[in-house]
Amino acid sequence: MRKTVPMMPFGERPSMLTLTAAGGLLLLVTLPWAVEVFGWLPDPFDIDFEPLEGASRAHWLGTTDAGTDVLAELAAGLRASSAFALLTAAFGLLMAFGAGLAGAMLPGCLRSLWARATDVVTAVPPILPLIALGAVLMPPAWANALLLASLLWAPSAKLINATALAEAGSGWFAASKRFGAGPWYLMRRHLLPAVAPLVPVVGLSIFRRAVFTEAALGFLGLADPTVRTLGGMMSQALQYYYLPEVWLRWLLPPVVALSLMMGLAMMLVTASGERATFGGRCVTWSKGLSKGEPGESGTFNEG
Amino acid sequence: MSEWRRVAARTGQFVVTLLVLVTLGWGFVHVLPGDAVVAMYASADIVMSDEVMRTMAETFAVPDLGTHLVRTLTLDWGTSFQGGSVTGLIAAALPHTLMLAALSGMASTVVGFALGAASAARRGTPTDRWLTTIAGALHGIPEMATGILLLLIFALGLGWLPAAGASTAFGDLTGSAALADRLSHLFLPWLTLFLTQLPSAFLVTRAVMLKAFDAPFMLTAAAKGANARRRARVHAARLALLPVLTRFAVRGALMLTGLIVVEAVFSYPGLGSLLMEALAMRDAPLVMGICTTSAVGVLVAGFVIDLLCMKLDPDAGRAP
Repeated sequence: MRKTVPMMPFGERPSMLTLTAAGGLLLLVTLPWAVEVFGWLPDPFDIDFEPLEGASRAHWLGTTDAGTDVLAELAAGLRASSAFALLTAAFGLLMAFGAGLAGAMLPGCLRSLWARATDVVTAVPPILPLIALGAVLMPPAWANALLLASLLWAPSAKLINATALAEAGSGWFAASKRFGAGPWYLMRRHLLPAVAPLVPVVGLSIFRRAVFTEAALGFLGLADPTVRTLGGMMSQALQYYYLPEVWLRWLLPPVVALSLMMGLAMMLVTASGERATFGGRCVTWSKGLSKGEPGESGTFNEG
Repeated sequence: MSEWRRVAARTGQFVVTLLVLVTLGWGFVHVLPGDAVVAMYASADIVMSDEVMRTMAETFAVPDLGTHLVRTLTLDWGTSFQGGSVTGLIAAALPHTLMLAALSGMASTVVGFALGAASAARRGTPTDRWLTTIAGALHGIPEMATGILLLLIFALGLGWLPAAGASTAFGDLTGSAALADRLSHLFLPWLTLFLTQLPSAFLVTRAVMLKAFDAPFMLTAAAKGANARRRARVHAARLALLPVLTRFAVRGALMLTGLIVVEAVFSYPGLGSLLMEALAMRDAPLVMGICTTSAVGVLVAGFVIDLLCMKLDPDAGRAP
């Protein structure tokens, strides 16, 4: 007999570790914007300060070789990184869910073609088109986000497609069809609730990859030169790595900020993956699945 | 489906994907606004005559699709703006990248697999908890950050290892001294990739092994008299090997980003560093050559791993 099915993907309270990770990531994303709104730091492009000045009350992390404030650059880099990643995640979610659900509605022969097409997209290293495009055009960040999302949707679309197909093969889905349910009803009442728990998993996975790709592009000197990036900061600071005082206050902060952002996103991907598998509808439908301890599955550790 | 049919189907899929990728690469360059000449001189304070512009536009014109496919298949990407042939420059850099990618990939897979299997066998013990915690913490750190931290600690702080390059410039070393010199230069880029790839191999192995321990075939193995060690090593570990290997096929395209960045951090003279040089000079033929080679490399690696998995899969050929 079918058990009570929660309409929302989250049936249980998240653990303290998950809440801490979510809070930390939220702080990393929002604090730099608050800094910008309240004008707590100087303009990251303001070059009026003494170059390579050490840490002081006026400049907590000192200044760069160009005479800009390091902390202001760090905040600007975090803003650019989070905005780019959120935009990519939004584009990616639309593409992954659109393609995954569309694939589930296709007839057999077209579904095979759909699967091969996703294989091709999965095989394309996302960094290469971005590098090729950056080398010639230096496109704006939103265009890079759109291109990156169009290269990252495929693995997630496969996951969504498999979940939707499992739902479409269920007895109550067949019963609804027998009772005369139309495609919109089936989508709204069966497929969408079945794939809804995957929204945080897919969104955070794409967010994490976008943070890394944006930093890599900045590090390689292919980001928009009018935007401060964490990768660009690292690349610039690395030129002075032989000066211990400089790397400690200029190189290390973006390294730590990037690691924190990716690490916290990874923790949330894992936690939301566990919940999608063990805490949501799947557990009520799949009698073979046993509840695992938090962090035990590892299924979503690929990020 | 028989094994041969599966191999033939996978080969066909590989060829089609390859053709699609090369065609997309050509189409991508074709639809971009402007051309290489505009890209190179648009922002320069040079005024060129129409004739010079025409000659340069013909030299750097994008060929038609047929010519592009033939050139790609014959590994001919034309002449780099640096002067030499693109193929020659790539051939000089490729061995460094292949060695780095292969050594780090193999080491992280073997060590991650062994540790994951051992941890799963000791489920719930302090060893298991420590290993899982360390792997989870390492898993979030990107290659860029790991590489920079290792560079600062081992090359700058302790001075134990060289910070850049593949060998000591003007070192004039021979024999074992030259080998040791090359290995010392390889160590930090290798360690960076090893440490960033290890956690996923560990976590995937552990997760699959834990699921395998509860599977009915393990009960059958126990009923047939296989002891705990044999059940873990022969039955569960074999099952875990497949996802560990297939993670390369699935994530190969993403791992390439890390490889390029690590080479850039350590100025290791592989494809990543060559790409940085090409980008700095806006050397479009070289950039396209490197991108195509890298994409094909990822595809070939995925194809080989797929074939290997078909051999290892205990269900191969038995499925209806």
